[in-house]
Amino acid sequence: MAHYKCGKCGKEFTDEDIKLLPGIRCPYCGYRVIYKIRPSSIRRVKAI
Amino acid sequence: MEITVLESTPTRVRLLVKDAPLALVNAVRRLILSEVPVMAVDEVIFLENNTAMYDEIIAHRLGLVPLTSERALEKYRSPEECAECTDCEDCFVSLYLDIAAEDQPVIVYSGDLKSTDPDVQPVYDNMPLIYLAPGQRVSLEARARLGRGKEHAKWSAATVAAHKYLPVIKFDFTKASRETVEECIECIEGASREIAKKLREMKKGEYQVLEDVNTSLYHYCSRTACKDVLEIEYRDDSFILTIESTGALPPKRILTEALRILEEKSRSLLEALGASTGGGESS
Repeated sequence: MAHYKCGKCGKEFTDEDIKLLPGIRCPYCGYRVIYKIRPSSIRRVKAI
Repeated sequence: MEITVLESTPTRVRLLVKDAPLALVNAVRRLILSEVPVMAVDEVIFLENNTAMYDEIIAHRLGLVPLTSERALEKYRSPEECAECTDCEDCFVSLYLDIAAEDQPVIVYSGDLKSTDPDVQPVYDNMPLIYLAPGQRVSLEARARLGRGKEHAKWSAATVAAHKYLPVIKFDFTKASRETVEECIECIEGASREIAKKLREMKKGEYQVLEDVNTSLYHYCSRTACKDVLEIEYRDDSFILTIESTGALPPKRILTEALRILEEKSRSLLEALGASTGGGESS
């Protein structure tokens, strides 16, 4: 489940919350610029 | 075969090898670059990274940090045993990094890596790795293992492993006019003032160029200012071998390891040949 953060009000929400309103908008303030938050799981990367 | 040490520092060694076949010197050079094992970071586990650099870029930079490997050659398992497993015992060393920039930007250096094994540490503390802007944080665990240069250049034991034929300058200043000799020496000085001074003192004879200089200019001098007075030739039975270490292993250890690997490979080839010919003689 990807997490997003609004560029204006700073509130965090998930995929489900985005689907509440048409288009890509913050479900709280309606701002159209949102950022994807890095998942909290650990990531293994080869050092190549 | 005769070997003379021309220069020996903690990171560099230059040897004069006489009466050795070219194939042997070249084999040692190739083994130094591709087969002598050293420690380097192979896998990075990211817990947090909100810096401007991608995980892969940071991991790549960590992989290129030289790590002290002299004791590790005995303590850890060989690259062949460790290459395919992720959790084998005695394969990996963990180095941790957890740095956050508060109000000021922070540059993360190789000295900030904390190793679980004091024998495996970054060789240089002042290699910049990541630049953190205020509010950014990086938290990771880097796992290092032994590897060989042929798998990835980060595991190459040496930055420079080069051999060249021994240059010899043959000259006779006694047969030329003073003006010609001065012009010739002025040309030689363009490459090395010390060598020019020695030639002036010797006046005549053969001079083996053991100094670390590029002798290409002497060809030009022998065709122009030093025509009929000086010529340069290269002895094809003597070599100057230069080994410059990354710091992971001392240069002499690199050389002994390369020779040990050469001996091992030669022995296994002889055994395979002996087996294929039905147990023929092997020396």
